[in-house]
Amino acid sequence: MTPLPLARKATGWFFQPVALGRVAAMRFLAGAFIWVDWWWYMPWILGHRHVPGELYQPLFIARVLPVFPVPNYWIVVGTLVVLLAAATPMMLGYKPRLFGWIVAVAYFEWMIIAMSYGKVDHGKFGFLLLLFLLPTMPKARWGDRRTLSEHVGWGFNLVQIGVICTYFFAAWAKIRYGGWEWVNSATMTWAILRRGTEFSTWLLDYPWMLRASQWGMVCFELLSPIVMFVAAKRVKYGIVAFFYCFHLTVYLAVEISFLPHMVAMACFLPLERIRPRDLIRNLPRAPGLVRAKLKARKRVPAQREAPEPLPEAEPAS
Amino acid sequence: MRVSITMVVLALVTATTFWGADDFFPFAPFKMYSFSKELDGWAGSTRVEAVNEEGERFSLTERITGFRRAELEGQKGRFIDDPELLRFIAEAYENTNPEKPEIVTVEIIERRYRLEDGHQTGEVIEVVEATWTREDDA
Repeated sequence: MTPLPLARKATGWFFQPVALGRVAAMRFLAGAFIWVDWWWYMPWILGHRHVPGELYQPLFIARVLPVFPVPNYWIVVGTLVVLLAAATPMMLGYKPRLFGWIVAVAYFEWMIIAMSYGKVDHGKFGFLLLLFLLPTMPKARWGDRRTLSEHVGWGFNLVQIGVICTYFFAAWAKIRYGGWEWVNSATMTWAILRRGTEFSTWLLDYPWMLRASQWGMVCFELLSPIVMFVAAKRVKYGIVAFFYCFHLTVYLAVEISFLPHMVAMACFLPLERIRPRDLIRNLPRAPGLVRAKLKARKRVPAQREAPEPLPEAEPAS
Repeated sequence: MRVSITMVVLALVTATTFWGADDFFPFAPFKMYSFSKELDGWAGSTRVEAVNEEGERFSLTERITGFRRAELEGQKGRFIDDPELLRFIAEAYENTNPEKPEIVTVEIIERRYRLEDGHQTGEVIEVVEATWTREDDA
């Protein structure tokens, strides 16, 4: 049959095996984010415990599934307690599947509490996908580069799709709501008037630069899916680094950081290479080690790059 | 099976981007700052102010009510149609700060900056969009 090679290629793209070490790292990152989220990143969610139920505006999902109660003081506080209590063992790898499910469900309820008062925030999509996919993945140890899993590859692939959709469809949303003239409109001026910082208010005097930045944003958002199809690891990591820089710039300009999105995006990176024990043990010698590593890399170009699972690895099924 | 999960997620995201609204969270159009702002016109910034029993006027910020500015803007139409609802913002403040003097008046105020060709002209006006005052004089 002729379509077979293509089909196999597609399956390979969906199920490219990923080392289990990355799962341990992502669990840690997700849990760590949840621990800073409630008091630093989005403290206002907890603030909803004092807001009267009359200002609660249930979302579609809450109207269809009658399992989400109107938040009150104890529902908000209780959800947070459950969330934090389950996030801790998950992040340390103790019964990570059981606690992972609890975290996913509790965080979802936390989001319902957050988004049901007249404003829905965007950019959490990838993180929610991550939370619901992590519990489907096996128990994992930090730094495990040996055990490869197609299921993990599939899961992180889906998270990555979620992350990239956030960019790509953000461009579509701009065209849908703002029209094609969005790129030339005063949206960035408005954003900086509302929440500018000392790094960005001077830009108000140069509207053409703000307009240029709008063009740049739409271009990068429309081009972002490329990262899913790049084979060369360096190019891929380079693009992801660019995404992180973009968020840093946006944060400096208008103090919007999309932190959970950035956590989800970390699954593009070869986090299985991190071994916390070695890191701590080597910390005093770190500068020397980095220098030695750089030298070694120069001597043997490109060859030391391959701890990654080879893309050619055949799917078992 | 797993491929179809991916496909369903993709389909839902695509569908809500084209036809959906925020209501469909977690699938929703990713419309952060997606509105076109006119280069010539008014850029608005909304806030809520309150007057308490002692006659002090202050801003009801997210920090002291738990209710965000963006949420206020999202429900602004409701508040303008029925200013009586502003009482619940006062309630949120009083729940958060039980020891502070109670609120007697709540106002939604929009400050509008005049833009011309994307530049601020320096012209600023303030409009009170909705007001609620406590009536029980017990």
